[in-house]
Amino acid sequence: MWCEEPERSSAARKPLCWRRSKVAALGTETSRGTKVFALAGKIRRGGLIEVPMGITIREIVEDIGGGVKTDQSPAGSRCHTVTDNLNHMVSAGSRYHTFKAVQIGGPSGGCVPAELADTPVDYEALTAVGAMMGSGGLVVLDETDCMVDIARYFLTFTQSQSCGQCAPCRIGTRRMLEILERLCTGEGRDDDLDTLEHLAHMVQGGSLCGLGKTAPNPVLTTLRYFREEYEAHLAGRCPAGKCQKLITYSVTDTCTGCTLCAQHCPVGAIALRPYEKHEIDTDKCTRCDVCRTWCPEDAIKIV
Amino acid sequence: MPRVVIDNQEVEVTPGSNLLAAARKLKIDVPALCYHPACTPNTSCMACLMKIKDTGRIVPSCATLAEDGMVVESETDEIRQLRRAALELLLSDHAAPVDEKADGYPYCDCEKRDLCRLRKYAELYGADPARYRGSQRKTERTYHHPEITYDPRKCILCGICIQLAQQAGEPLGLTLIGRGFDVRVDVPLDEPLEKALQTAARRCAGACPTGALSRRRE
Repeated sequence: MWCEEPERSSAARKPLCWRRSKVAALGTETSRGTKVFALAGKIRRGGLIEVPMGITIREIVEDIGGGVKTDQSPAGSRCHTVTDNLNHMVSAGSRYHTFKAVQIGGPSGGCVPAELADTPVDYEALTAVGAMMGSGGLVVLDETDCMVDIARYFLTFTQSQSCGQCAPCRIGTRRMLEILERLCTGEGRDDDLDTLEHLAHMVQGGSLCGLGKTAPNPVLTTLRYFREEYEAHLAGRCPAGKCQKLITYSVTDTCTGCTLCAQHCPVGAIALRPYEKHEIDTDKCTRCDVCRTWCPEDAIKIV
Repeated sequence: MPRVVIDNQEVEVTPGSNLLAAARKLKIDVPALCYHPACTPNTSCMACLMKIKDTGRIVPSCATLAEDGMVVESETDEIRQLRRAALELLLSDHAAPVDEKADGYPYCDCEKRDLCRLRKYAELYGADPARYRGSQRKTERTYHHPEITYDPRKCILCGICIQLAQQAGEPLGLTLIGRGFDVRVDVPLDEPLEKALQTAARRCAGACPTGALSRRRE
């Protein structure tokens, strides 16, 4: 725009003209230039990134983001001084995670599984895998993220943003959210997955504006790539150990009886018995995950 | 005069008319619940959807101008399925009791049973009121009016009554309050319904596609 009117552009704007000509040379044939993403989630180096179009998701996650985040238990960081390379924390308290998927395109975007990480980031390729460029959100997910919960989370946002004008979006997104909430609390019905999938297509096709037309994307992509997780929820299991109603915490034999978990349990569900294997009172337990993050021996498991 | 093709039938319409009017000229019964000839399109029910073949876009026919050379699909499986889903979603948040044993379908004890367009098209499209059963809108107020009754639980939020009241010059009129799933047609400032609809009450009740607004029995 400014390049076409050079007489009106000030010196301050010149770098932008220069930039525009350089940036247009980047990218692919159909998606030119660069794209800014908000890289977030389980990533070692998150933040705002600007990448040339056509870069693969894997390059973004592994090269720019430095790979999936390794988390350290609070106990680990207190007990060990990390002296070696910060990028390769190998203290006793660190846990390594695997790259599971990226949620790309903001709340209306889709989840692209790790198997498809070589998908180039351009408009056509992202649409083909069910995601979209959208608002440029890029959330990295690891194996501790439940895909049903992710779909529920993003739909909660889009559902609350529905203005209420057209029926498919106003009522449809609410019904989809109700089904997802049922699944996450283990109250799913046998026909829920088929109803959810059908309804998602109906809301996508029948809504008036882009909000309703894209709101089902997180649901449709997770159903497409992670259907087995939905089926597990129907059977009352959450494979990622995220949905609180579907999981219980238990202590394995590697427990040394250090009492850290008992000290930090906010509801007193673990009796403070030093040097004995701890036990969790599942009736009192609120599945807050505090004990597991504190355990220096990784002895607390989610079943 | 623009000529459009709907389901392989060509029809000539007056300039400025919409696809819904074109379809009606061809005697295609399109379930348009939120459309009223005196009002601007509300595009709320999304039961009048049609597909523009060139672009592949699915649009509400009540709000799409018929342009010369347009090729449109109306009675295809895809479109009928979308319309049925819209009707089923409307029924899932509609107060009519669902009783599988009753011979009527959906079973309604509503006074406007025979005039209700939601009921008519639900029946025509084989819409299952129980398919998307879920939570219902909350209604806190009860409304009194000498000429009409208003049951917000039956309202499909088409917005026709709001426009008609405005056209009739009602000083208060009706409005949409809230947003998203909880949006409702209500009287502004919590005023009584009597004050909102002083002259337009009977007209609104007559135009209401469901039994939400209906004339009080003598």
